[in-house]
Amino acid sequence: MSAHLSPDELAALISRCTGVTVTAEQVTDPHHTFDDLGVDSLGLMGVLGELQRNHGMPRDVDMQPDRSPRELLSLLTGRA
Amino acid sequence: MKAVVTGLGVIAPSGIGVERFWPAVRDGHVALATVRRYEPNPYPVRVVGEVRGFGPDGWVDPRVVVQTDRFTHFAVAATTMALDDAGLDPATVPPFGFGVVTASYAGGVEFGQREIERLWDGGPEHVGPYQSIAWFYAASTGQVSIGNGLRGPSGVLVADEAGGLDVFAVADGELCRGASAMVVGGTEAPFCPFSMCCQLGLGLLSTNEDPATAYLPFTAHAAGFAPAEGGAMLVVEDERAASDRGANARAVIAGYGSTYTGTRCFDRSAEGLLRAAETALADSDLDAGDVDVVFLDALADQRADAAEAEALRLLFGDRTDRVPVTAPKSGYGRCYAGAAVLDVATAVLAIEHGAVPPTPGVHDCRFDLDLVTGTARRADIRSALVLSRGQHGGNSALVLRRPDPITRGGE
Repeated sequence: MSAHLSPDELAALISRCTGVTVTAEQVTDPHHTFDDLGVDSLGLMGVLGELQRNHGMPRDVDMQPDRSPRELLSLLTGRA
Repeated sequence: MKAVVTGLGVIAPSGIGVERFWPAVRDGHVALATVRRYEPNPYPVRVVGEVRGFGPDGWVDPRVVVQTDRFTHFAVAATTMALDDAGLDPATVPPFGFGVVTASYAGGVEFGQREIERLWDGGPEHVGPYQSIAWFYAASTGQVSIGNGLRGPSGVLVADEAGGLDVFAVADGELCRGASAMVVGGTEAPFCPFSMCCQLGLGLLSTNEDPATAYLPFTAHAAGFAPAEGGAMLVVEDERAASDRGANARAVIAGYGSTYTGTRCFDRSAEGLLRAAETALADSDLDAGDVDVVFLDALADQRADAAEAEALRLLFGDRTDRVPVTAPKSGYGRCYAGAAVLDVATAVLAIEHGAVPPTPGVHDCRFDLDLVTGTARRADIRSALVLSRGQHGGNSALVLRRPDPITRGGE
């Protein structure tokens, strides 16, 4: 299982897990935090769980809603 | 102080929205059918009342949809209907003066079943975080409060099926303590195997596979009830607050009574129902002679039906066979804590339309009662008595009264 995920794929995954419609542009914009997008801590926990189960993300990765989707994307693409 | 109903929101197997629900109930439409929400094999209960054609899109915020169970989707949508029907924008009510109270029997069981399946198949890390809030009995009250900005007194009653009437007493109490409006109701979505299996041991659900004969309360064929999903949410306001904003009072919540007679002691529910009804009538400053129609609990269990008929005989005496009584739920099923709330909504509509809806499917009542069957009966309804029992021994009664003609500008 690859840890790589495109901005489009991550946006779709966040939308599916949280019900918040998120675009690829929002996922790559460093100024948007999860809070800004309306994704709360439970929603982000669901996103991280999905990435850990199905996209090879290490289990010790944790993130709070004051961080940006772009930071999450960087972790996934190994460009943190 | 009087509590008045100003808005109705209904989601029932018979119809979504009052404009579809009332004609179906008035005309005795039967909305029972074989369950579709899960594969009925190998379970013994087949005939149910499902809400067909409802999806949360357009009713519920997409973020809330993924966080909540179907019973909450129903509650949120029915609340929107009720507020719209009442013409009441919550933003115009003092923020701590508008609360919400719901009754719940099953909670978010369909969501819960899905997550339990993930736990079983994949392990703990496969369970989503929203299980923590979606299953919870208070989920509907919470989402209705958050979604509509209702910061007044709020809660949930997990008080078996009779909780569907008890919530109106809770709301009335909050209005007496200073709230100006309350959203009141209950919705259920129990159709998953986990939830239904929990109830099989009670022996109260009908295993008849024919929708036309599965739920026939008060007949010699009564052999259990057909379960249903759905329910109703109502806007109940302080009469003065409603009058001040020019709202139409649809019915007065006039009185309430409640008793407890023990789990599965249906023989004793005759006395329990009688005392609940007498208390509700005394609370309304009415007596049994004032009752124009009774909405029945209608468990369709031989002992329970006999007890309910006995309660009516003791309450009405010589007049028993001349008081119209009805159980519209035999047409769409019994939706647990939402069942009595739907009966309250139906009673409000019956008062407004001057018609007693029938008990669908029933033609041969085995008791000496004036059970309305076939088609609706025209009636001048000033006072309606609604009865509800829980499977585990609660007996509640609520009296609704037609409002007096409007007298504006005076006390």
